This record gives sequence, C-alpha cells and structure tokens, in this order.
Amino acid sequence: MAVEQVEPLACGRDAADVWEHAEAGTLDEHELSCPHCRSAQADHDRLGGLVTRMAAEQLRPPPSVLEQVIGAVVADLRPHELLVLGPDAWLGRPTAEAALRHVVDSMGGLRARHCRIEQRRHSEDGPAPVWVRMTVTARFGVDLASVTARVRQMVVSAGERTIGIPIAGVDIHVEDLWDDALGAGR
Amino acid sequence: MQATDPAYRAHPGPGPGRLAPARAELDEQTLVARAQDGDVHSFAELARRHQDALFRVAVRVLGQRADAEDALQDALIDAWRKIGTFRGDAAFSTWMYRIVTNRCTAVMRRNRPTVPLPDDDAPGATLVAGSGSPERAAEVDAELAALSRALADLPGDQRTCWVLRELEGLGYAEISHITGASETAVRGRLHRARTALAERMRAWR
Repeated sequence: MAVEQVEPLACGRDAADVWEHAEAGTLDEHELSCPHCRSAQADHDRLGGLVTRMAAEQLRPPPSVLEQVIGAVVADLRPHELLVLGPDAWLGRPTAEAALRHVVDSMGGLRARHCRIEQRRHSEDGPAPVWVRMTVTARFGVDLASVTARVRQMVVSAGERTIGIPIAGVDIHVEDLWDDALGAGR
Repeated sequence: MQATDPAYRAHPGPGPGRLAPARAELDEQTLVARAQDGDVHSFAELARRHQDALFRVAVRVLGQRADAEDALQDALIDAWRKIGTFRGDAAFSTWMYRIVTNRCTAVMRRNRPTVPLPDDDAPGATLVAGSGSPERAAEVDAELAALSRALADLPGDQRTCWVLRELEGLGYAEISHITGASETAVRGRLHRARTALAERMRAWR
C-alpha cells in the first residue's frame, strides 16, 4: 500500500496537504515561507486556472445516444411483464402501472412512487383480477385517511375503465411527506 | 413523450384544472422508484438528467468523444438492467458515476494505449469567443489541448480520480465509493496525477 501514500516533501510536510491548503487558501506560515512548500504551491497555481477552464467546457452527448438507449431498454422488457386481458390479449405491466400512477398523480397532494400489479391466476372468462400495491408520497397537511380511501376508489374504477382488468384489492403505503414550502418532493 | 404514451392517452383525465406533474418536475427518488418498477419513461428522465455529467467524465477519462459515447450508452443500459439493485445507500448520481467509470475502465483495458483527443475535438473550442485577442485564444486552446494530452498519458486509475475531483468537484469519500479504492488510495492517486500534470505543463511558462 506504500505506493498509495503521498511522499512527504523534504521539509516533512505532506505534499497533498499543501496542495489542498493552497486550494482552500488556508496556507500556514511555514507553507508560505518554506521553499519546498512554495514549489508545491507553484504547481498548484500553474494548473489552477487551466483546470477551471477545462471544467467549464460544455460537453454534451448527441441526442442519438439516449434514443438508442431507450430503444434498447424497450426491447429489453421481458414477456413476464404482461398482464392477461383475454385469451389472445395482453397488456404490458409497466404501461398498466403507469396508468394507475397517473391516476394518483392527478389527485393533487399525492405522488405515486412504486406501483406493482400482480395477476396471480388465470381465469376462463375474462381477465383474472389483479392486486395493486402502491407507495405514495403526500403533501404535508393533506388528510391521509380520506385521501387514501379516495385513491383506493379511483384506482379500482380506473382498473375497470382504463386498463380493463378488475382490481381485487389495493394496498397503499404512504412512505414520505413533502412540504412545498421547503421545496422537497418537487 | 407523455403524449405518445398509451397509458396517458387511455386515461380519461382526473377532472378539470388538475394536471398531473410532468415527469421533468418529479423528484429523483420518485423517478427511481418508478424506473425500478419498469417504467421506461421515468428511467429516460433520469438518464436525461445525468447524461451530461456522465458524458463529461467519459470524454475526459477516455480522451475522445466516440469512445465516450459508446461508454455512456453502455453505462445507461447497464443502469436500466441493474436499477433494481439500487438501494439508496449512496446518492443516485454516485451510483451512476460508478457504472460509467466501470465502463470507462473496461474501454481503457481494451484500447491500451490511449488515444489523445484529435485536433477537431480539441478542448477550448467553446472558449475562443470572448477570450481576448486571437493570439491569446489560440494559446489557451493549445494549452488546454496540451493538458488533455498530458491527462491521456496518466495511468487510468489516476486519471479517473483526477477527473472526478478536479472537473466534477467530488469529495474523497464519494470518489472512494465510485472507484472502490480506499480514501487514502484516492488521495495518493489524485496527488500523483496533479504533480505529473503540473510537471508536464511547466513547458508552458
């Protein structure tokens, strides 16, 4: 591990410390007058402005990178990510979950985080009912009891109307609160 | 993206005057939770927010844009596949930096020896305007190009530490988390990188 250590300067000071002190503007009396420390500071000063300019350069990836990533990600979705709507009809689970999250987001004072839809068994006539587990964050001050009751009601009705699958039950877990005044949970 | 999402088109709407927040307004923790459930659009928003920083690191560590674009693309796909393992012990940005630096390390192993930035990608191009006389601007360009070349000649582990510290402004603890090296090792690598670069740039004074 010795090679990972910083060699001390001839005066005994840690060279990396001197560099950090030069950076922070906290050089002590010795460091300001010792020739070895002064030489380390000169190195720092030589690079300083140039590094700032390099850091300020705008480097942006071309839009094609993200486009290709999203293409690959969509192609990566697996077959078990499907809900059975009927004998020859399926719905992507992430799509159905996004629709239910949207219901929650639209209520005001709530944001959906996780949403998991589970379809446990197949049914002969029509789609098998699903169970929905959802975690949400709420604006500080909303009446959690009444708002979660309403979430349940809205999610059940959206199940029928929007995704075409009956919902057997909805578990809701309020896992966080946000306060607009603090700017959290934007 | 929202308009083309079938989930959004299918939904009749929550009622007048109440619009759901756009994805761009959602906090990172919410986007991560949704992406972990397989929501591609939330993942795309996370990727959009982080891609510039990840690309900067990849360009500086790899020394050229083409490899950096490949590393960024592979890193983002890795992030999608592994997002279920993100537990929130570190910041999401730290987790993403780790994935991209791992990709860069793999590219460096494959490419050895490294290729410096070609002239048309030379740094400083955006600094020409407003830096005073044309002579001074050319000098700044050449000086930055020289720093890029000196950086490309450093060992990969030193370069990664230097880029994360000096260009991204991260602390030792975070760099240690990203690279998997101890904080002492990070400090040592950073210092060796700094002194080697200073040595090379002495020619410019």
